[in-house]
Amino acid sequence: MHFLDWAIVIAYIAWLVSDGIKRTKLDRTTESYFLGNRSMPWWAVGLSVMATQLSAVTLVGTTGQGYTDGLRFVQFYYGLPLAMVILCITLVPFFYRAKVYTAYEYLERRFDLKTRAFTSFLFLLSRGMSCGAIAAAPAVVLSVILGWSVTTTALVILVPAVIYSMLGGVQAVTWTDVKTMGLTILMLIVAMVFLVRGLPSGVGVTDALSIAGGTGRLQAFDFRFTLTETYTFWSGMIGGLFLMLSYFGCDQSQVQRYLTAKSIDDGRTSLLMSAYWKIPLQVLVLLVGIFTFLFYLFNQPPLLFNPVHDERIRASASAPAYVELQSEFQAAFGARRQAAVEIASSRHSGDVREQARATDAFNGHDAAVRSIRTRAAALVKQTTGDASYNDVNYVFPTWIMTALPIGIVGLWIAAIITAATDSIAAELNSLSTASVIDFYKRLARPDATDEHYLFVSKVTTGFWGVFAGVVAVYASSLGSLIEVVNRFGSFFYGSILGVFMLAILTRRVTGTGAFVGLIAGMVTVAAVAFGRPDISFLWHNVIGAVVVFTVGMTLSLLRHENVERP
Amino acid sequence: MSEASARNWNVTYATVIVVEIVVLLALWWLQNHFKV
Repeated sequence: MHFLDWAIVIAYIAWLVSDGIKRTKLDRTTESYFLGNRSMPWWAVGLSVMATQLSAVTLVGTTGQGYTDGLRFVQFYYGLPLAMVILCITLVPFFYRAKVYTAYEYLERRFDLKTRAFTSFLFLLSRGMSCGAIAAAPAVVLSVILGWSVTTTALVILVPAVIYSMLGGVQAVTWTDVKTMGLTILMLIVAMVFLVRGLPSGVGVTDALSIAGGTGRLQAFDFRFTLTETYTFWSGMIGGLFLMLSYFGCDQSQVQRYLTAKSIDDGRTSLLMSAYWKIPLQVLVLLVGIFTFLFYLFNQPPLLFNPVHDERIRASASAPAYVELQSEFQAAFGARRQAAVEIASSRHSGDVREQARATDAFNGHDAAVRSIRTRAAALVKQTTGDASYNDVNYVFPTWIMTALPIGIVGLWIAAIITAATDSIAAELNSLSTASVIDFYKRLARPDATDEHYLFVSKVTTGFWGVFAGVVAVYASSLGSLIEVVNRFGSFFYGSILGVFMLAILTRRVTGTGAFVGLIAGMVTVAAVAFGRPDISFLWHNVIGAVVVFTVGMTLSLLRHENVERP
Repeated sequence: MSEASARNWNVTYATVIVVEIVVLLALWWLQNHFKV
């Protein structure tokens, strides 16, 4: 990378951190530190809600998904707008009127301490681990692209997040989110401009979209009703609805964003920003991936996008097989490019039959290219022992490093690093809030001064930062553990939603009914996950919520009857 | 919340749903217009 790009990355990160520290002057109370004195403007809160979900994985992994699968992934978000409307009508007013710091605090007021403590503990466990995973995924990719160690890239992502979230609290996190969202959207638009300009003369945008359409990459609807597919219309509309209700309504890392808004109306407006913009934003990210695919139809891509693996294979005993694959790849790439040009020229001449023939030929060559890549990836796994290797994650970073001019490269790398940084900062801030409000203040030291809690909050933010750092650095050796925790997280996401549904929609349900229901929901989801692993995790949320609601209601009604008729 | 405010929110919620339908229709058009 050019020194000017480095200067941009360093200057941008330094600005984020210094702005975060500047905001420490405003933080004199825990309400200011955790909730920004409930005075943040709705548009900043709305951007913060969106930025918290948009991590580096979105920029690197989702563009990769667009490259391989096209728009299919967007179906995951089809339930989101409806989820936001439901939350604005139900949970948001409850949280504001109850003046809570954490979503779980509300559960003690409605049920009991054990339900609050258990749900908050589940949040701390899963979010603490996922915070490390959020740093680890881009750290691995950046280490390959920049030639640094994973520890170094993980620290570059984590240290700024720890500093400004620890010292600046939620205000620093929110204003950093605003900057990052602005930079990310700008860079996605810049990427689209460069990708379209990278198309050869004679191939226009509509020709390119026709080629993508011919490969099925513009398919945004799959109406099959099947529990085993994650990316279908119904999985997104029903499973996605429950996931989004749980994520935006019951997860402290999201709830805390909109609790900082000035009023119920501002909180609602900030949430509805995601309802309007999330799907178009995801489409933009996926289109960038699709146009990266189109770019590499006409411009020679490497056989392996991960340069480190490429070098290792060349130096290994598999080198002859790899060289042979490369010459096959070269031939298949040339034939595919020719077919793509023929699709464009047949469109221009209006010859529909010729266009269909060229598309068929193109798909045949594309299948050959994919088959060669699959064999190359198998060679990587065999040679390096990296069984989880996924070349797709390196496609977009490779394009950034090789196709963009000096300056834009620096801005993109800064965008990827800070997308990870500010997601982590928001998580650290919410982890600290749940630790201090739900446990330390509630159970350990209920009568201390606000100054003391503020100090403990900052220390706790630092602690979670160190915890995330350890998880991130040892992520590769903790691989299976992280997977277990992520899986564990999916067991209780829908179940926690079920508890909140009981809290808001019913009056008779008791604390014990809700608690037993929560356990029953988690056990049921775990049984489904292990017994029927083919069922998509999106449906776990529906199963969990329905079981908790049913068990909680039934138990409470039975108990009620027993009390009435002893 | 006053009744007037509630009515305004209902309009906002309806707008959200209408905007989603329009976005989905745009994606449907994109999917089918460029299908070969």
